[in-house]
Amino acid sequence: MSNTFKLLEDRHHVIHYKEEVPPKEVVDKALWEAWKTSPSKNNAMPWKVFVMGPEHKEEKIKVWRIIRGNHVDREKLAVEEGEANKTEGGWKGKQNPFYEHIKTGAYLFAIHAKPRQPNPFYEQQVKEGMYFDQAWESQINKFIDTSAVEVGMFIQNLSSYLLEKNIDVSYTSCFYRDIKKWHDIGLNYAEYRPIILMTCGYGKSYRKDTISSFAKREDKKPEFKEIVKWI
Amino acid sequence: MKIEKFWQTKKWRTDKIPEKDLIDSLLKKTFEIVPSKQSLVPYKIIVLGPDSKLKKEMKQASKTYFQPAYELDSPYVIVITERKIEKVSPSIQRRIWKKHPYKKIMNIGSALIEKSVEVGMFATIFTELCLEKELSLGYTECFPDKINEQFKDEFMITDPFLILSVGYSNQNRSLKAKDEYKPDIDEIINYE
Repeated sequence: MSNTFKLLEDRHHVIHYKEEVPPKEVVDKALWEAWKTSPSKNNAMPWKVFVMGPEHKEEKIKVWRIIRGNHVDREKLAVEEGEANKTEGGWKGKQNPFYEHIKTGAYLFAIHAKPRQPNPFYEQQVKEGMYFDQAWESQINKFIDTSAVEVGMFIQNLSSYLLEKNIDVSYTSCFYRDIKKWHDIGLNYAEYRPIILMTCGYGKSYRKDTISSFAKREDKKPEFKEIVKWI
Repeated sequence: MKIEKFWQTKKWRTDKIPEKDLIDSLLKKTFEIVPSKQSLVPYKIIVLGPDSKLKKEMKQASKTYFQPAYELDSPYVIVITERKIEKVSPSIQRRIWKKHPYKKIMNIGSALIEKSVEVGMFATIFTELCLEKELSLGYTECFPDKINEQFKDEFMITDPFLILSVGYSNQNRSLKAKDEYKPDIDEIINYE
């Protein structure tokens, strides 16, 4: 069996991480490897990874509040827009357990958009008339979709390098998109909108062990033939 | 990880074409292990094989544009685009009946960032599995607008997220210029 397949097949979403912290040099090396192996259109990498280590407990709680606030607001909005007839108060009146990894992960990687200047090669191309949209703050909302594909590549590579070292990873893409909401509660590290949140550490409890038998049986992807079509 | 040996391939062998079964099995394996929020998989994958008539038509059309679509030269061209979600798993269906707001991610043109991140993850796993089989790949994020316009009714709903070219490489090195490099890692990774 493929090594990659085995490695990724064994990955599970973490609810709580253990207190034990993976060595910083291992995490640092995985970040370097992911940076080195992830491609980027025009080598721009118009995004930035903010790493919050074990000492940043307070910031992680603030990030969790951003996620929780967004969840509650999205439910209210859905009721206002007629998509739902009641709210669950975030998660059946309780706290959604699937966001807990944000608070307990040894490392939190918050990836945000970031305009970039061209390297010397593209600088020359720009002089010849090329439009380097990734350099312009005003274009963030236009190039963010392609950036997000690259960020997906980066987090997948980072995940593989960490999983190889028996370090668990989890993701969250539910949070306020508006960076002002982050600044309002004192999360001032980033200037631009977030793309994805990822955590790592040693898993203590996993989603697979907490969900109902119905969810285990039925919460599955669409059929392969619904996704892939040969022409 | 094999990804360390990856470079963008633009020239392809024409005397050695990967078997369809191999590409299909790698797509299936990728699909099996790739994560997707609420298991929705909000994208679809269109594979244009070596004998695809549509690929030939697209290639022909691209010649009339300013920028030829080199990505169509590979034996397999894999286009990843948005998918309108009409059928969901029973677990998600139950939540929809309970009026859980899924509309945003299920609709075409919305939640594009979340969808794009997932596409990037799919492409990376697929790449690693291809590299394990000595296959080479090229990535394209800019597809000529006129090709999108002309062929979207065939299979695309919106602009593709990403196009993967797959085959056996006819290059022995990267074609990247020496002064074409990424930003320094300190500009990308920031320890708070």
